[in-house]
Amino acid sequence: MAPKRNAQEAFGNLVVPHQISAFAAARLAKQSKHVAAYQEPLEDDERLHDAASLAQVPYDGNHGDTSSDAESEPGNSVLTSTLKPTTIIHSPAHGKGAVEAGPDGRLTITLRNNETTAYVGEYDLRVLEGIATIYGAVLAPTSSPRRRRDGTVVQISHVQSTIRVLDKLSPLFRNMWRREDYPTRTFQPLQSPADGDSQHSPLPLEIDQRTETVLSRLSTEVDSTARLTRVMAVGAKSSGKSTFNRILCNALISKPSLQKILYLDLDPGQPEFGPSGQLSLVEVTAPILGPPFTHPASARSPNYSLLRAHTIAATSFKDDPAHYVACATELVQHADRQYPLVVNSCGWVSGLGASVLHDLTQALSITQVVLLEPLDAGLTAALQTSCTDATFHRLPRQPARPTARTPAESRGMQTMAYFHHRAAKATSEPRWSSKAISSRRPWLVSYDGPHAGIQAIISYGTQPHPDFLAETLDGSLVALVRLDSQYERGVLSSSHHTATSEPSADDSSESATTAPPSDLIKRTKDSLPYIAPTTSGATAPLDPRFSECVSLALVRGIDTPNKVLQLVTPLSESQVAALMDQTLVIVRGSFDAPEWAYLEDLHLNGRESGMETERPWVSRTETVGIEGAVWRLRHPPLAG
Amino acid sequence: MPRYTIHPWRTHTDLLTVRAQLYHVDTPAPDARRHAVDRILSCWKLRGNLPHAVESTALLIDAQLHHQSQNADRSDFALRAVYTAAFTRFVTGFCDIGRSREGLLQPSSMLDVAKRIGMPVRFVGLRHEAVHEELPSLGRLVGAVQEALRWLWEVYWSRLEVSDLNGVEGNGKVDDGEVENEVRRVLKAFRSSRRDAFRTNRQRAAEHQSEVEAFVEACGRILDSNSRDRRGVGMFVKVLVDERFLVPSGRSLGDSMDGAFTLWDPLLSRLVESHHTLPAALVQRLQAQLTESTVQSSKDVTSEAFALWLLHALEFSNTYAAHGSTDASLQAATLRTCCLYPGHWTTMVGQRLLDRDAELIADYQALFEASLLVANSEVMEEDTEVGAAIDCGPSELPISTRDELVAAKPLALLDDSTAAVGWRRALFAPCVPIGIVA
Repeated sequence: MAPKRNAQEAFGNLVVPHQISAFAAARLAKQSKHVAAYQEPLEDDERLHDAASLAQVPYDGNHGDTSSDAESEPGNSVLTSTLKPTTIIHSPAHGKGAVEAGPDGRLTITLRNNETTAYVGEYDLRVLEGIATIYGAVLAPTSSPRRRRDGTVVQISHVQSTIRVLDKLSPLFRNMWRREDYPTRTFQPLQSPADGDSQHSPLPLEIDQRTETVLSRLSTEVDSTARLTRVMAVGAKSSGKSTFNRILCNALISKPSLQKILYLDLDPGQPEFGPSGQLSLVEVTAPILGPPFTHPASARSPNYSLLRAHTIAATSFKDDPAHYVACATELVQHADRQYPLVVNSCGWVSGLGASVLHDLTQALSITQVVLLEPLDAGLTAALQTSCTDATFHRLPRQPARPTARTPAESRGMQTMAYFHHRAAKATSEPRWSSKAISSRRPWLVSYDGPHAGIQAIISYGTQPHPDFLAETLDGSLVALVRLDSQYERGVLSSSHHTATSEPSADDSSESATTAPPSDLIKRTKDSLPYIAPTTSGATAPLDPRFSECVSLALVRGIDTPNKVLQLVTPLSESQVAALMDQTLVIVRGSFDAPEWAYLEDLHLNGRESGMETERPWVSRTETVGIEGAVWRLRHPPLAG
Repeated sequence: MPRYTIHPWRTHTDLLTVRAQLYHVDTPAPDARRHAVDRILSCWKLRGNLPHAVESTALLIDAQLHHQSQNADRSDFALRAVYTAAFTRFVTGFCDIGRSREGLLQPSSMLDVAKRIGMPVRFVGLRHEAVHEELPSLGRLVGAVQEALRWLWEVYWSRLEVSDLNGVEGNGKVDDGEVENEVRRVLKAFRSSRRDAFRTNRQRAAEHQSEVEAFVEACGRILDSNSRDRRGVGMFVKVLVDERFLVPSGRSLGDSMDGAFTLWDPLLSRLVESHHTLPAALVQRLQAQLTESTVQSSKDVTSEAFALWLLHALEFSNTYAAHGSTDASLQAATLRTCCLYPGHWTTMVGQRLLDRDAELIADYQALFEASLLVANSEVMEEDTEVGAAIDCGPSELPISTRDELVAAKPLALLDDSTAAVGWRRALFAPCVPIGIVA
């Protein structure tokens, strides 16, 4: 396990040449940062020094048996486009007239059969003639497709609003794109890997023969079974599940008869469509091309429309697998069976993860299981015996790709993009706010009195001590959950239970309540309303049948004298207005600390004076000595 | 690029408080240890980024507290189990972190890691015994936990820097009046030196440049004095603005301010570069001058001068401040003030700012227009709170307090219509970091 971990750290911090082996990477890692391991025994003083530096490091159970498990590869997947024999034209230098530059830096590229071209950045792609594939999606001219016997003409033009505004707000988004050789363009041709700048050494996305076969079998299945197809890819971390799912989605929506699929995102650690901790059902009508942070789903998005979401308020379901399965089961009730459903499972395939996968395949009525092997034989056997109706496909797992970001960093980027994403008006592309989150106008939500905007604060997982609830909440991420009105009383009663795997909504909440809700809501000394854990030590999670996660929010501050929470959410004003008469509760859990949010204005203003004012939870690290050597490993626990 | 660390404690002082409570550095209240342990384990731990040393200390002390408590139900096993769990987590954590930092292909043993990081190897031995053999006896556990706490003090707690802010109270208090006199003296000297240079047309001469340089240094010393609480900057700005140094004496309405700008810019631009808090302080002081006069007469020469200086100060703080970035928050804060105190000159400033910056338009255009309507119909009443503050001498208020008064006002003004709603949008984009309620 250790070599993998090292390799990943190396990729996170070093300029890594094209296609480096894990061992070479591990060697690099040692040479550059960890020479100490090979030194002579240290002097006493230095020893203490070393322990002192270790003492700074958080120990969150992730230093032990972890492996390289990043699944999103920012920078790589933005640009990958591939046909089978991968001949990348290094245009425009070698294009010989194949590339024409138009006004506004627009490029028109003529490709012959089986030729591939790659451009880095953000752009609109339009096929003018012929047919092209990108990430499994098939693109053809929208109007009057003219047949060409040979070749395809595509046009690439730059886009107005780009996610690159986030570069200024966080170093995580920097060094991801190529140098700006053409400042007027938001994209550039991919040069050959040798030409310096090897931080971008993207690998071509290979869709091998076996994958093609599985894809075409699934495609036939969708056609023949009146679309009652539900596909789930099962595999370990970094085995290519997400990539496979994207290719599958793109291939399916390219079918003229279909044009729409549903995506059930069940990977709370690295979701495809939302912030971490969220499980969601998304209607997909456009190819999924970029890394996850480039396409957050929202209720208003025309391409990735969020139908319903639940939160487990954690990056792993280890604390409450029953609630996780209940949420997934509830979401799938909202899936229109007219359309094929693709399930993005998480990469936890051993122990508890395996039994949850087993439960999921049954609860979701999965008809097609794609096994990315090698997998534990026990799991495969269990799945096969329990899902006798399902068809099983086998694929070799894809080699793990080098990733430039740790999973925690990827999650941070995704959450940051989620908060900066502006709900697009129909038809328009996603837009991103370049304003630091600290200078976004917050919502002032009263938490006490007759007009309280939120009814209670519920903690999933470990409970904070009530005396410290405010301190725990301040500056942290929470989920806003809407409760159904008839359930409102039930949820606050002690006898409510999580959904069973048979969600029959008829018995709903009548049985649940005799006591008025106020009995269950306790108040801290700041009057924050919270639901105390039961004697068993945990708060029962909200029943997904009668609740829905509407958004994440950042608690920007707590104005205790006025009993007001200052919340920042990505919701638009009209969306918030629609929630006014609803019952809302706040769910907090073990979301990652929003470190990015604390630092945005510092990075934006690029000056040190930001630290001269009081800045909670942040210190300037003056010396690079000890801290510089601190190696933070923060993989998500267990699950990928 | 500066590096920042995120930690679960709000300020360094919080961490020092907890240290004192845990280790009895000062005379603690009886429940202080309990309180500190709860704070670490059921608040900071949940916030994330808790250093392992802090967490282990809390776990070990929690075990001790459990032992000391007078709970009769406590079995011998429960006691030993709590000690063991705390101790093994402490040791395993340090060894895991140390091992992952080594970056070896063949992970070394816990014993090797412990040796390398200077942890007593008997800790690892005891951990091994507790996990794989019989639970150690209570006596050994008690001793080991005490030893572990001493070790943690050595490697972590004793190394915390005692915050500078704590020592500031009462050390070498400089008389404010003296500093103000010094500011006055330097500014007067600078002004006459510049005037002489212009009169004799040698403002570009090297000789004069070195004079300016000397003034920059002198002012820099004043600004640096009392730098802990930034009173140096406050007093400098107070004298500079309030005593009309910036306003040409024989000025009449509508005159260009270019002369004054040319006179002061060499000094101010240099100081802005070296003292990052100066622009904000200067802008706030100028705002205060504009908003303090209850009636802003359109004929008031001095107000006009301050308004033009305000615009100029915002501009050059953008130009000269570090990295040439736009300090949007300063602009926004100024515009906010302009909306709150609509008057002839604040309106002029507000309009110019909006003309300059498209982003401000999006945020403030509507509010700005509304404030004009209010001002024109003359229904706006003097805010009593602010009025009272002015009575007791606004110049004596620390700048931060003044800021709060300004921030409090919009809520008071516009609350009424929306008070019944549980959710309302803040009217202004805040200018404070996350976690601070403006």
